Amino acid sequence: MSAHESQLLQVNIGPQHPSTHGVFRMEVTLDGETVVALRPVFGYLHRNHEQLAEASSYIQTMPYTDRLDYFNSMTSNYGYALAVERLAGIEVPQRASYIRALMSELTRILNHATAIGFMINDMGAWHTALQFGMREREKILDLFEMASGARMMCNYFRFGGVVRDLPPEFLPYFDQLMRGLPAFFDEFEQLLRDNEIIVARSSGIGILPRDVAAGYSVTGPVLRGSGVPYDIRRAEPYGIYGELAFDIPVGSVGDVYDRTLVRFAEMRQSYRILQQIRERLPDTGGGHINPALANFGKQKALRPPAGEAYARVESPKGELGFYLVSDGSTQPYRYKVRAPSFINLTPLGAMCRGHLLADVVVILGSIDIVMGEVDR
Amino acid sequence: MSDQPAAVRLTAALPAAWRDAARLEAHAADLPAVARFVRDRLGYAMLTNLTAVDDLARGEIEVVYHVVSPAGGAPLAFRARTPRAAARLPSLVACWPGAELQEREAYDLFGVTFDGHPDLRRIYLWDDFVGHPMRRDFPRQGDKYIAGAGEE
Amino acid sequence: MATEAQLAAERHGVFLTTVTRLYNWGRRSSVYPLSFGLACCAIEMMATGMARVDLARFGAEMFRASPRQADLMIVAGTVTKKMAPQVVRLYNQMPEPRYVISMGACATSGGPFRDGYNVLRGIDLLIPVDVYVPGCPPRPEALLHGLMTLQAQIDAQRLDAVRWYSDREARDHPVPSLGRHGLELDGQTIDPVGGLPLLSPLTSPHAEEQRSGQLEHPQEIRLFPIMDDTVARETPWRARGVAREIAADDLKRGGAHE
Repeated sequence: MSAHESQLLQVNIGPQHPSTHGVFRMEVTLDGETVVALRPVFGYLHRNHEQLAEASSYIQTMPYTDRLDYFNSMTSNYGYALAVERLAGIEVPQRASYIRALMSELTRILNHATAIGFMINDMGAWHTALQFGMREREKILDLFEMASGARMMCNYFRFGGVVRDLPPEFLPYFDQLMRGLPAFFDEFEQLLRDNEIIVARSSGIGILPRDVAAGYSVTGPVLRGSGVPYDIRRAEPYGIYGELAFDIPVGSVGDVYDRTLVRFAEMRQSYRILQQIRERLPDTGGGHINPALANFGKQKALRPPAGEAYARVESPKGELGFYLVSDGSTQPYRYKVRAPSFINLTPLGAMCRGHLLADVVVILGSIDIVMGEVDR
Repeated sequence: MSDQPAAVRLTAALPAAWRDAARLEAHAADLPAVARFVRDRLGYAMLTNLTAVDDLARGEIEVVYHVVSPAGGAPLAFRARTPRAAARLPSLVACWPGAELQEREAYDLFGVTFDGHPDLRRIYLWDDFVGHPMRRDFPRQGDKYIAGAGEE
Repeated sequence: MATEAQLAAERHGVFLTTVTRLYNWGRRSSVYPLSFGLACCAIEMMATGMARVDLARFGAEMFRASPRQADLMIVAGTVTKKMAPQVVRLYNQMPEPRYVISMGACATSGGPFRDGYNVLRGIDLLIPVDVYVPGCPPRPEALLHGLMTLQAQIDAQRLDAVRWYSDREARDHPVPSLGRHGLELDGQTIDPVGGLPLLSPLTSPHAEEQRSGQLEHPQEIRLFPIMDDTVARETPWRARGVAREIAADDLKRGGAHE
C-alpha cells in the first residue's frame, strides 16, 4: 500500500442521466476514476406488466407486449403469440409465418441501427451518429404503419397469424427500402466501424470472456460478441427460420467493439433474410391468419387447456422468452417474460470493474438495454 | 452425448432427488445436486429462465428453471416447490451466475428466500416496502375493482 | 394588434412592441427541454428531435441534461412510484418559469399501466402540468402540437401577472418518499401500492401554481377487494371508503362511481 491512501468515492449514475438509456441507476464505487464496484439498481420503470397480464385475457396482453421492448414491438409480439400458440396448439399458415419473419428482420435492422447510434452517443458523439440510425428507423416505421396502423406500438400479431395482410402499397415501398439499405449499411459502417475514436474507445473495454458468457445467461449480440454462435433462430427454429439461409456472426474477444461488429454484421444478415422472404412471399399460401381464429371474438374467448408453455424468439436484444401457465380459463394463471435486456445486465458489474468511469456508459450502451423490458 | 432424452437420463441418474419425477419436480434440498448434474453431465450451460409460480390452491410456490444448451435444442425445465408461508429454496447462483438477478426478482415479487444468494435484496420495489405484489392474494389495484365499475 | 400609428412607424424602420410581447417572444422561441426520458414516449420524443420532424424549427431542440438549464420538462413515459420522488425533485430543481408537458397516456393518467401496483396515476398528482399530449405513444407530430400549444400559452402570459416576477415566494413542491406501503408525504401514505391515490390532481398552474391536490381524505381507510376468492369480501367488487366527492369529481377515477 502506498503512502497516499486513496479514499473510495460513491457515485450514483441515474436514474435520470442522459446516458442510462432510460431510468436505470448504477451505484458506482470509484478509486480515482477507476471503477472498483458497480451495483445496478432496477425498478424505476417497474410497471407491473406481469400482474396486469394475469388479470387480462390472453389477447388483451398483446398490446402490452409492444411496450416491453418499445423499439422492437414486432418481435415481442412474436414471442408472445408463439407461446400462446404452443399452449393452445394453434397452427399458423405459411404466409403468416413469412410476414412475421419479415417484420422481425425489419425490426432487427431498426434496433441495431439505433443501438449503435445510442452507444456512440454514450461515447460523447452526441446525436450525430444516431441521426443515421433514426433516419432508417423512420423509413421502417413507415412500413410498420402501413401494415399495422401504428408506428411504434404495432400490436400486429394475433394468435394464429397477423391481424391483417400486407396492404398493396407495402411491397413497392418495401422494395424501395431494400434498394437503399446496402448503401445505408456501407455508409454507416464506413463512418462508424473503422472510426479511430470509436475503435479506441471500444476495443479492449468491457470484455466478457467466452467461457463465462454462457454461465451469465447472456444472449443475443452480447453472447455472440463473446464468440458463442448461439442464435435461437438456429438453436430452436421457429416459424420459417429453419428454411432460411443466414450466417451467425460472432466476435472473438468479447469486448464492446466485438458486440458492435456483430450488430453491423447482423444487419447485413437480416438483409439477406429479407431478400429470401421477398422472393418467396408472393408464392406463399394460407392467408394471413388461421381461419379458425380470424374473428376477433374467437381471439378474445381463447381458453387454452390447462398446462404450461415456454416459447422464445431471437429478439434483436437476445432471447425473449414467454412462460405461460394456464388453468383453463380465459386469463393466464402465470405469465412471465424472460427479458433479454434484464438478464444481459447480470455481468455488468464484472464487465465494468477496473475500467474508467467514462467507459461504464459505453459498456452499458454496448449491452443495448431497454428499460421497459428490464423492469417490465 | 446420448440418445436418451435428457429428462430420462436426469431421473435415472438421481433417483432419490425427485418429489414428482414425471414433472421433474425435485426436493428442495436436492436442487443443487440436480443443477450440477444438469450443467456438467447434460451440458445445459445456461440457466435461461427462472420463474416463480404462486400455487394458491396448494399453498405452495413453485420455482421453474429453464435451462438450455449453447449447442442448441429445446430447453429443459425442472422445478422445486416450497410452502408459501416460509418460502425458502437453495440458491443456484454458485452453479449459474446468471441466476443472480432472476432469484432477486423472485425474492422481491414472490417472497422466496434463496439460501446462499450473495446479495439477496429487493430488486424492483424499494427496500422498505412490505409485501410481495406478485403473489396471487396481493390486493389488485384498478378501476375494475372499484365500486360499480366491475358489476355486470 | 397593430395600430395605424404602429404601421406608420414601421414603414420608417421603427418597430414598436410591448415588453411583455418581446419577452414572451424570446421565451417561446427558445424553450429548452430537459433531456429526460422515462419510457416508450421518450423514443418518440427523440424522434421529434431528429431530422424528419425537427424540433429545432421551434427553437426547442436543445435538450439539456441538467434541470438547472431547462425550461420545459417533457414527462415522457410511465411514472412509477419508485420514480415519482425523482421526478418531483427534478421539477423543483428547474428554474422558473418552468413548464411541464405530460406526454402520452401514462404520464397523464397511468395509461395502459394505470392498474399496476407501482404506477402513479398521472404526474399531475404531484406536479402541475401545462399541456397534456394524448396518445400511446403520441406521434412526433402530436408532441409538436403540444409544444405549439405551450408556446401559445407562453404568448398569453402577462409580465405583471406571472408569479415569478411578483413578490410571492416560490415554493418547492413536496417530494414524496418511499414508505412501507407506498408513497408517503410527511409520514402519511398518499399513494398506496395496491390502492388508489389519496391525492387529487393539481389545477392548471397558469396563473397561480396553487396546489389543490392536498391530501384530501387521509383518514379514510381504503380496502380493496381481493382477486382471490378464498379471501372474504365485505361486498362483492365494492371498495369501501372512496369518498363520494372524490369519486364524483375526480377525473382521475373516470367520473362518478356511486
